[in-house]
Amino acid sequence: MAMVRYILKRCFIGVATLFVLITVTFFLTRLMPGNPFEGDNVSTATLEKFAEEYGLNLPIHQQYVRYVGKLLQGDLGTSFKKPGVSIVSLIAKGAPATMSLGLTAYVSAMFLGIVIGVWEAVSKREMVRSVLMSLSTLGISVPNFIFAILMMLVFGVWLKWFPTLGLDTPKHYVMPVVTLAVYPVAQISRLVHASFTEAMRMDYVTMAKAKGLRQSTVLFKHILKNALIPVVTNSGPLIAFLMTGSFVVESIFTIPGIGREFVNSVSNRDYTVIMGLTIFVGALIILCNLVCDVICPLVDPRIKITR
Amino acid sequence: MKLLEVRHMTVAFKTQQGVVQAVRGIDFSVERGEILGIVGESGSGKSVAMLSLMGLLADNGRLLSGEIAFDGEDISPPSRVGGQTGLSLRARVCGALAHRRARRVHRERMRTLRGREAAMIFQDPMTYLNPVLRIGTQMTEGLRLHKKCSRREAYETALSLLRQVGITSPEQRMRQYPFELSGGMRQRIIVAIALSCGPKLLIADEPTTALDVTVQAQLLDLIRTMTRESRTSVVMITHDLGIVATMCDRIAIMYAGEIVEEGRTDEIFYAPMHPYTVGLLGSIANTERSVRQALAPIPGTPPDLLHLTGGCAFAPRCAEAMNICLSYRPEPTDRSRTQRCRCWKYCKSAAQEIIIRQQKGFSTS
Repeated sequence: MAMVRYILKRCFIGVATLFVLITVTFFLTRLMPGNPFEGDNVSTATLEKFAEEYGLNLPIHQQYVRYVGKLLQGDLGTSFKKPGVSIVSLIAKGAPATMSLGLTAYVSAMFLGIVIGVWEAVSKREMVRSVLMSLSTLGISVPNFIFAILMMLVFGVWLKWFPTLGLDTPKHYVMPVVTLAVYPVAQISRLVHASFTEAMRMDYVTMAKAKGLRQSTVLFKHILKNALIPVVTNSGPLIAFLMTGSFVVESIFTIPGIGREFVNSVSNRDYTVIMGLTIFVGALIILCNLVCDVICPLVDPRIKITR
Repeated sequence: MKLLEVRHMTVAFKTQQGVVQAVRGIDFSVERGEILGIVGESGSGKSVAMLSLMGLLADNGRLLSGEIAFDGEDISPPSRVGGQTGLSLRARVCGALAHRRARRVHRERMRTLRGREAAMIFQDPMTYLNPVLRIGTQMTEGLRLHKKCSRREAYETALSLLRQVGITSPEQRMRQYPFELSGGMRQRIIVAIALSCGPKLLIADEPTTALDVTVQAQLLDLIRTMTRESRTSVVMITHDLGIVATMCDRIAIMYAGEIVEEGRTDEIFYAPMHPYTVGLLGSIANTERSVRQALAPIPGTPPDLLHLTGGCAFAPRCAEAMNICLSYRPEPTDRSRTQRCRCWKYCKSAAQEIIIRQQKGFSTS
């Protein structure tokens, strides 16, 4: 019961957050210099006609009221740049690619990050530890477009192991996923390394050993469960970050996803597309955080959902 | 027959400041069904000695030497034989591999011994239970592993154990997490876990420090009944001389990593030999005495185990210290079949031999 009330409350707060997001983004986009129909060979008369057609000649607060009014009816509008294409269909077209890519990257980043972090913490060899440590530093500090281009060159062009464009077969996923996952893997492995090392020193580990439990039980049941708490709390923002798409990855590998659409819409001043994608991404982030917060008490029973 | 016999146990910790000699060559033994009390101030090496016994030392700690016999079986860690020069490379590699194998075998033996044959009660109920696992899980995992019993049987055993240690509505507790229980309850659960597999040896590291007096009495009663009924031996580590007096058959007094005096409880209380023991007894409040009398604390602080000198570790605080105490280590002297003490007051007659032995020892090492 407390759970349902908590989720309802969080949804309400989420909607309020979304509303603030919509308002701020709406006015910010209008503050950008230029407008959707600007071009070298467009006459002033045509511009005015377009502005009237799309209601861009109205005072800004009226435009805002009109937009929100339509939004409340569930209408996100159509693209300015691609006439007749509704925002919903735009998202429906881009989201599957972006989200499947993001989810694959998320799952592999979680798995690899945890494995590497635990290995780093458990290994008694200085060599293993320092190699893994420098790899994760590398992963955090090298920008992902460099990884992407290097991989394309080596595995795509020279070795011809993986295709470099599109997202048609599982093979197509390899390089974009690796590019997306490098940073999260490094981040998660550092987090797991730190929390695992800390948990290994706790008294309950001595107690678990004193019971005569197997090494593997002590490591994976007693230590890992404690060490994963910070990972779970951080995974909400991470999955949102990965699922909302990366402009870099999507443009380098020419993947028709949301991230690419988003950046294009900003440079085109395609107001409705900007708004629509912002709402979509914002809602996704809010949802991911909510799911993460609901999952947290399952991992750490000391966190209680109240009210 | 003796259940546990420890000889020349030496434990050291490597730290950034240097090597801490936490336990310096102690000998002790425990008979079946006997309760041995180990008394000493914080940092005297009591807990470290017990942890090394169980093979639970922290990574920077090392059991340097010592023979441990448990129930007639030698469970001392394999000593490294390599390092001799003149051996061929092949012989050295084989030696190292054999040593590794021996260590693995020993580790596995210690693991099966822990929890089943020798169990430990820890002192801090707040930190020794895993915060993210249910009490039920923590109670039954050892049982299921050692007794090879089903989930159901382990659950039933755990319930009856919880009842034995005086926990109300055990079914509910089994489903709860440690943070939902009070300190006293958690301590009793730790005790129940230690007792769960019916160990032959129970090591209790200040088992009652965290408990209020009534619960304390219950627990001590439980431990006592156990030793009587199933002939479990207990090593009880404590600061509390009151508990020692009522519970223990024999007492070992530890100071700066050494057992300075050892004897039957009555011998220690009525005829203490070592000045440190005398000092300890002098610092207990006696409510029965009619005359108001100030307690007599022992002046000074325990020595720094990083920088120990050649002499008796207690000498700087000892009112009866002689010149020899500062430069040579006294050796254990027996007074009776059960009582022995490490103090120059009692080994004066053997002084010549001891000095020669130590001078030789120092010159070679």
